[in-house]
Amino acid sequence: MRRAETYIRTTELGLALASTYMTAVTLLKTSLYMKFKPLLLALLSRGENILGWLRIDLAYFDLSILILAMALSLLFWRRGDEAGFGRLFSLNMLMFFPSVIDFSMFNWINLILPYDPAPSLPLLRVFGVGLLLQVTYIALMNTVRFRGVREELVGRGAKVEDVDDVSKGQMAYLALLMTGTVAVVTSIYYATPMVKGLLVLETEGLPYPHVVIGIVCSILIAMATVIYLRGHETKAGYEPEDQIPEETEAVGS
Amino acid sequence: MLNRGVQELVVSSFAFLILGMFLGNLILIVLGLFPIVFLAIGILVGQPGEVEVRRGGEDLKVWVDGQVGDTLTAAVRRGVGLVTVGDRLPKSFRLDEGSNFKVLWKGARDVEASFSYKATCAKRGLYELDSVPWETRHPLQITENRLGACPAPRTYIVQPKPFFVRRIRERKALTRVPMPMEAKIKFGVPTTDFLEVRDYTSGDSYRMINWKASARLMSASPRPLQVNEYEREGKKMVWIFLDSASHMALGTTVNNTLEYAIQATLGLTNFYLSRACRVGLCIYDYDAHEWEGTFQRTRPAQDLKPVLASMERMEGPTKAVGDETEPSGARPQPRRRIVLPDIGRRQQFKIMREMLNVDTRYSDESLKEAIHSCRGHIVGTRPLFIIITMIDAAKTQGLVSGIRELHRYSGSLRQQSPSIIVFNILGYSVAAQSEEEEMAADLLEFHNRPIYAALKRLGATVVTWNPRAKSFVQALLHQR
Repeated sequence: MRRAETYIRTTELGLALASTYMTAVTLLKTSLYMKFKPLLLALLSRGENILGWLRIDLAYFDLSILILAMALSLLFWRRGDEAGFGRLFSLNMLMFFPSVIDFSMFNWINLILPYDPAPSLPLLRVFGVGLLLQVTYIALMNTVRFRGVREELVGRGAKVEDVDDVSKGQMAYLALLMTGTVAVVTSIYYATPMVKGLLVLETEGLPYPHVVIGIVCSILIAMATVIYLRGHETKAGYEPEDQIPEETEAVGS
Repeated sequence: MLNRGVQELVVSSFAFLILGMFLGNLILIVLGLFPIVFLAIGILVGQPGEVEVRRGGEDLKVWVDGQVGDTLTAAVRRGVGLVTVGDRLPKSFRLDEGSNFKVLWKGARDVEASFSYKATCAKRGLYELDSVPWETRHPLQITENRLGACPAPRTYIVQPKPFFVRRIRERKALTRVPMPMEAKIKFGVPTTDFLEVRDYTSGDSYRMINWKASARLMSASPRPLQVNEYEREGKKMVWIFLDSASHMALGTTVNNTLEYAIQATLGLTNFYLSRACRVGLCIYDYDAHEWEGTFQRTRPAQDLKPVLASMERMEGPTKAVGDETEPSGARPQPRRRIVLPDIGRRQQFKIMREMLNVDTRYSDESLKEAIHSCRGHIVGTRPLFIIITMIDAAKTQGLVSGIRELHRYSGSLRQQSPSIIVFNILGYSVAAQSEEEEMAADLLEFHNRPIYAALKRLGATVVTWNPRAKSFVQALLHQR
């Protein structure tokens, strides 16, 4: 029993640390971080006495951020529940967001303070890190569920070997599904520039701003997804619970 | 309904897309599509759809505490996911070996798996397992779990163990297990004991005609011939009245007062049947005396119109019996549970079969009503009545009225009181789990002493039995 669970936990740890490391490294190379780093160092240098007493050298500030992020990631993994992994995703997104801004068409930050994005990382790498983030989030949410299923099945009296088989199957299925999704999304990413010209031609004629069109499209995609999922449930036609026989009792009693 | 995980994915996807629109960022927009693509592919590869379950064992008839076993084979086809199959055992069954629950992973290939179990049946009854329920789940639980059941009938008959009273081994002990006093019934070989003079009916022997009485009566008015009727000899008869009121449920599901009462019933049935007695059984509800009403006609009144057609109308039209409306709130026809007296192994089987179904509130009749229901088989006979119940000092009215009813139908014969045994099972002692509870049970039993004296005055013998303290045979030997 321990072996399959250890396998799941190790996978979780690997994904959590890898995604946090990648986002943290990406953060350290963003132009937004570069802009704010001197300001942060100036603020920290005011408390030089305390830093000296703590034997912290500001020359290792980047490394400190990396270690802090990894430590938080480890802490969230140790909790091992859905809320912990939710926080891990939030932390990763927080570190990932500055790198995304570097590649955005609209510079909203420039409205608040003078900021000129100068990306130092290749676009593909940022996209790859984003994919890793999504994979980590979805995979961790599912592994938590897998562990819950394990507990439930063992509690219901299933054999541990059978439960191990189920866990292994679920993990394999998840890995396959993730690989497939990554392949499809990457294809979409590469295909987008090719259809961009066609889309621009179609949308140019519309008398609405592109943001409105985008939001409408997003809502339509979300609605279509929900309708698709619910439609599939109806097709499945599972038996309602009241048709399931109750626990057998002695006849006539 | 979409589960929480799916909703979260849809919402996160939507958030990514909106954010991507505001920032004009292709990465965020494409990443926003990730959860949607994930869900779409996940749903395309659906959960298992076809589950077939077969049983390998056979229907069994066992005694209480006997063991039953079964082997089930589950075959799963189509889809990917986990499948659970569980044979729902009755509550009173205890799993000894194996498991009645199986979980299996259905991958790309079809799967077939077997599992077997052995279980001990702790309570009597007829258990019919109709189907084997199964559940299939999507590997990531994106869609709702699918529930179903495969028809796989199986019947277990768990027979209660009777307390056999075969032989008394204690030499000094004087067995006081009573036998019916006389063996007179309506049918059988006539004895020399004169009963009455009655009208001649076809089939009566000419030797039975009482010529003197016939001449006397026929001289006054035209009458049929008169014949002498004599008492008839037959098998001795025993009537067992088993209480199924809710207070008999005292104790655990498996070891309660009713279970001991059933075992005692079977023991007594076995004892008397093996001694060539006719044994009848009637199950009643002690508490039913609280709502018992007047005895009502069970069959509709006969249509007397053809008979009365020729009669001249003397008075105004009267209301017909059938036209009478039933008073509002009248008690519906109660359920009767009677096994008519008979002899032999067949009767034993019939009583055993009835015992399989007995549970609390099995009958709707009070003791008095039950006696009234079988009065046709009691009147004119002198059977032994055994009332198996749990005497409670707080409510004795039903028992007393029942015993009076027995006197009414059986005691009038030659002014002799009927043989009645009240077999009292000490339910509180059965239910007692600790020493303190046993003391409380003893105290409650002590409160019952005046009731025993009152019942004795009514002509009944009270046999008390604490199943925890002494055996059934000892209880019969130590009766007062």
